[in-house]
Amino acid sequence: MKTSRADWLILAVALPAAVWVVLTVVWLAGAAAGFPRGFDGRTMTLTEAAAIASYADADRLLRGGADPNARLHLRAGLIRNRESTMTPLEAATGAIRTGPVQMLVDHGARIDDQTFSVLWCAATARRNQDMLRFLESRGQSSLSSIDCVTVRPLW
Amino acid sequence: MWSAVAWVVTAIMAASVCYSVLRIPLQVTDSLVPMLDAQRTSSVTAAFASGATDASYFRPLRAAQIQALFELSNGHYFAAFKGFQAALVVVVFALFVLVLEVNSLARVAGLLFAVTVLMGLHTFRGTVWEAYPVNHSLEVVAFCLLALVLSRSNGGTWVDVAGSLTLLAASFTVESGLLVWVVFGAAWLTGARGISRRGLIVVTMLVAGYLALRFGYLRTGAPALSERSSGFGLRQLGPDELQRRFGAWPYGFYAYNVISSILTVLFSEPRAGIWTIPAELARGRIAAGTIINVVSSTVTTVVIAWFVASRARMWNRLDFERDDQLVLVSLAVIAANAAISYGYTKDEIMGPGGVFYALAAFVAIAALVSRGADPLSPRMPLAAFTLVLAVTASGWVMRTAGLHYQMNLITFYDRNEWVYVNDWLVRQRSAPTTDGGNALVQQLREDALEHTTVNPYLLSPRLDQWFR
Repeated sequence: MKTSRADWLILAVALPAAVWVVLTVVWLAGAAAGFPRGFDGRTMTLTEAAAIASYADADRLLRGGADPNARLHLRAGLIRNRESTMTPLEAATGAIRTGPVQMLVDHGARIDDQTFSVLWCAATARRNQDMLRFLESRGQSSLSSIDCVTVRPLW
Repeated sequence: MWSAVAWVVTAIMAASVCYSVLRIPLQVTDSLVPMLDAQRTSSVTAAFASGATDASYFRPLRAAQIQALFELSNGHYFAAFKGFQAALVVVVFALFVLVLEVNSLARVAGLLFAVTVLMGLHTFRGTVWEAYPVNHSLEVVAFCLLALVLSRSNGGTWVDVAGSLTLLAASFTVESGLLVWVVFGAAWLTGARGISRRGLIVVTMLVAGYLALRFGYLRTGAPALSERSSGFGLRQLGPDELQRRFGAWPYGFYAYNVISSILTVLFSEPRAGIWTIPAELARGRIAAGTIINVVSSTVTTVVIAWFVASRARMWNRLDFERDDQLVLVSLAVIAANAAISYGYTKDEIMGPGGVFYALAAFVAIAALVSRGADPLSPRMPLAAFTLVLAVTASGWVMRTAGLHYQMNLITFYDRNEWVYVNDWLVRQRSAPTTDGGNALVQQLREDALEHTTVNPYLLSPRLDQWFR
């Protein structure tokens, strides 16, 4: 049977949407079965919540007893291309959006002289102006005395 | 059989929209304060009266609906308001497929295309996601589609009565509800006589009564330049700047808004009054999503224009087929929607226009594929033209996927807003002063923060380049 001009046009118009309908069914069925949990906020660590500036997840995790000073898992792709571990404040220096830094500090995240230098140099390297302003406002260390060459690099 | 396929496809698409809508918490802005108001208001009647006497807006039925749902929710606010919103989504999709009368393979193809246009157009995103906490934008879309269904029905006294009630309900919910009258009028002029001449006279008198009530008796004003920001040229202008630049003679600005609103539906440019291509170019590069939007919309508009051109001679003789009615009513709704949005431009206020654009796209695409026609160039090879159509249809599918991506983004931002909701309420001078009010805020906050959601930034931080 010869395929007519109209058949080709119907195929061109309908096929992409038909594929999408099938994908939607798979997606909805997967969602009903709880998949994929990997993208769900509930699988997130406090470090990851800080990295993507998720105030809601940071709040939920802190209320659930998460340690704001712990070195926690950071999945690949959020800040670095590979998996790593770091503290929530360190992750916040790598965030492209203003993260829940004040919330972390309010819940006990420590910024002493040593961590201040690490955060300052990391924020400088990432050009994270929000983080730099936040650290500057604390007036904790003499900024001129920080030599980023000698400080533990995060990035 | 084709009708059944259409209903199944539409049901799946509607379910996906409901799924994304139900993941979004009731938002802080536009939702919380009306709910606190509802808590203080004694009855649905009192809410109706309050909505009728507001200084800037005449929306009594909206206030009454919020009050009724608040009282009926029995404390299950998310279930009540979001359940109502999901029901509206279902109604809109059901009316959409009902209007299209799918009875052939070509029309199934048209439906598949049109549903992705409906969902993928940027105006739909703003229309569907928000809970105010009752989504009146979606209600207006539903009322307009219902008006079209009534107009194309076999008619009768009850249809006329239903038409009048539809107009009253729409116009008492929000100002853009007057578009229902445009649907009735345009449908009648193109030969759809479900609403009789007498019925049309009655709804026209109701519109006159509405205008007299609003502007004459209640003296409810129109939105002023100083009330909100609006896009103009390459950026957003704040109320102060709008007032300074256009306060003395705002008509040029109004004309810009009307034209922008029409163009945004037809070509996906400008967006909310801002020309995104030059704006993005000035920032370094045009996002892939912007190109997809403009190309898919432009090709679709060309196909609609081809359909209009191919039927123009018949229309001059006042010879209208049922599909002609859909296209002409759609064009009238797009124009009227833009005209009543003269005060400022936002993607979502063109929601009804966007939905009717999808109807027009359905007719044009179904005609195109059934005739095997080529509106771009008669000499274009079949393979090339097929490719153009496939790329366009794929573009709309991308935009449909983008709807869900954007709604996940909105979920992310809305949840974040709830973290500091108390500070926000203080800034708005709306902080509750009663234990009941504080308990309501706390309950909604916990609902929002505990809600599980897919985090779009965990999927990929670069996806937003594709979904604009």
